[in-house]
Amino acid sequence: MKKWFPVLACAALLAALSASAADSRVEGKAVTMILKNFTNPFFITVREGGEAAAKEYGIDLTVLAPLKADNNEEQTHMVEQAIVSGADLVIMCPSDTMGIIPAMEKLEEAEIPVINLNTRIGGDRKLAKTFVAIENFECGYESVTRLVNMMGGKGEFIILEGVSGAQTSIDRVKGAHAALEKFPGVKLVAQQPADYNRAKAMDVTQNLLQAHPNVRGIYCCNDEMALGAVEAIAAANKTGQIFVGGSDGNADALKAIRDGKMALTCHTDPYNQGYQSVVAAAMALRGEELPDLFRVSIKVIGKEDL
Amino acid sequence: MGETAPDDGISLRVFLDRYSRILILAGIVVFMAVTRPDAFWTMSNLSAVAFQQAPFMILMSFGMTLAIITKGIDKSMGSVLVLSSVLGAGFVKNGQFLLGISLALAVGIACGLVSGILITRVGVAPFIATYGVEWVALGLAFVYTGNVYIYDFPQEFREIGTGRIFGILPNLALVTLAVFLVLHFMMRKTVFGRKVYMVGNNFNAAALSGVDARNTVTIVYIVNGLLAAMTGILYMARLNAADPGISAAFTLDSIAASLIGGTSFGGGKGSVAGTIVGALIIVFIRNGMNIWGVHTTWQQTAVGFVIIFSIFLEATTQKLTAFAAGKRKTGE
Repeated sequence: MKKWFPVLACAALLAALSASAADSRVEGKAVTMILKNFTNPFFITVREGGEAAAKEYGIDLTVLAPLKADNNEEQTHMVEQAIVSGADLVIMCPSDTMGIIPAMEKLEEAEIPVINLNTRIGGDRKLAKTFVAIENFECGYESVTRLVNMMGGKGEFIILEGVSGAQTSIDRVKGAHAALEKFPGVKLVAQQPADYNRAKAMDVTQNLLQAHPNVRGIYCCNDEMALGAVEAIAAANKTGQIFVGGSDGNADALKAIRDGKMALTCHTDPYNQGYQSVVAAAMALRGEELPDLFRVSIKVIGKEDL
Repeated sequence: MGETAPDDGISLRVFLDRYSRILILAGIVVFMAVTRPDAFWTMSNLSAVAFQQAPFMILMSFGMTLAIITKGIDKSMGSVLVLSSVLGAGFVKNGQFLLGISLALAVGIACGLVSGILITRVGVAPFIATYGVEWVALGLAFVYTGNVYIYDFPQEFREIGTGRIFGILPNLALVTLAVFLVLHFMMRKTVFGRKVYMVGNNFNAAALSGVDARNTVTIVYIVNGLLAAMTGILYMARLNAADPGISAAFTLDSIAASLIGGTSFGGGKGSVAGTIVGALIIVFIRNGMNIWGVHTTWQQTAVGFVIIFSIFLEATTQKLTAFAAGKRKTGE
């Protein structure tokens, strides 16, 4: 996986990086990074990227995630704890786009700057200095385009969404729909949430395959669900007949692609997302102006790319 | 179910108590079979639901039912499932199946023992004791895995959960059936089973009348731990991964299946046979709604309605009993 990072998002970052890796204004500053969970390998890699950057900048980084995966309540407590323990900056990857707003307002009140990572903080007001993320729409669009081309441009299609209401899932699904519009021969027969969860995706796929036995392609909004779909397809003795696309590019998914069980994934570069969020944090701590978006690039990976 | 009642004036109550859930299940199945015979009423769908999806929930719900019959609850089952399976997974992946499975079962038993001791010797309320164990077990699972998934097991191991004996009978269904027969016999025909119901009806009265109430409850929680570990091993074989993210869903589903199956939170009432029906109702609702293309978020609402309906049924049968008893007293 290491060959794609660090793919730096923009020239400004390159400059920032090379200019001042050891900066006394940043050295020793306490930064708290709050992620969605530690059960999905994606966020483990985000953490690794963040920790690597923190080491370079001499930042004292604490990475936290709810024990109950994707729990807004726990994330809110973590923010409150960061305020009490005197964090200089918070990097926030919210599980609940709207639910996290009150906690973000508390940070604003305490005058602690926020870097928004991966999933957008909701609301009309700008509560974060910048947003470090990939373009999820592009991710869904590129993946589905390639997936449908593998299907020969026709056939029945299923989409598995992530947690209901999750912005990453909403944007990837929008991208997927935009791609499907280009192919009149493809029929979207079902679209269901499976909560970004492997076990749930397996049950949902198994049930959907009963209703739609002729499905030729399944697009899943993350790799965990794609791997669940792969097992359901294997249980139905249909391995190789259905093209499964995921998103994230985690190790299990890459292995499944190599084994021919999965068609493709979209490498959303979690390492670089984590890394860039800390770079942005360092810039913010130095008082530099930040662009509204730090865009981390994506790459669709099929068997021939491995 | 656990108690005997006089014959007259209670036939409706017995009928509701014994058959209402089966009627709900039959209603769901008939509705689906009539409306979607193409997708639902097929051998491959019915066997996928009954033999691949339902057994896990049924096994977990058996344990939950026993705990609720003792007037307790086992919040820790999902986490114990995760901890035992991740600890066993490393060995299984290396081909040491026996070692991995034994370790997983031992971990399950140990967790159950801890819950049992906390409840009966330390005097902690079951919800709180198992809630504590739930956190510890899940925490240890995360620490052990270092947040790295354990994925892709040898095919021979996966055969345990996905294979068929003689090429026909799915192993998973056979294991579930065997566990059911053992537990059903235990609860209905053995002294231990009677003790479980007695303890659930009135812990102190049971203890005073010479039942070793504390050991009875401890053993129930050990059985739960064992069932959770067993489910974990089988689930690992099905999912081809040890997944720490599944714990909460399993615990909540098994509580729902026990309630729908007629187990009463008042203690002393319920049966493992009812629990099978409860679990099947939930699994068929999900399957049916998937086939109908209803958004999965609605499944939660639908299962909730069935739970409420079951509790309503429970209350109604109790009122009917009281009414019948009153009638007899006044000689009407």
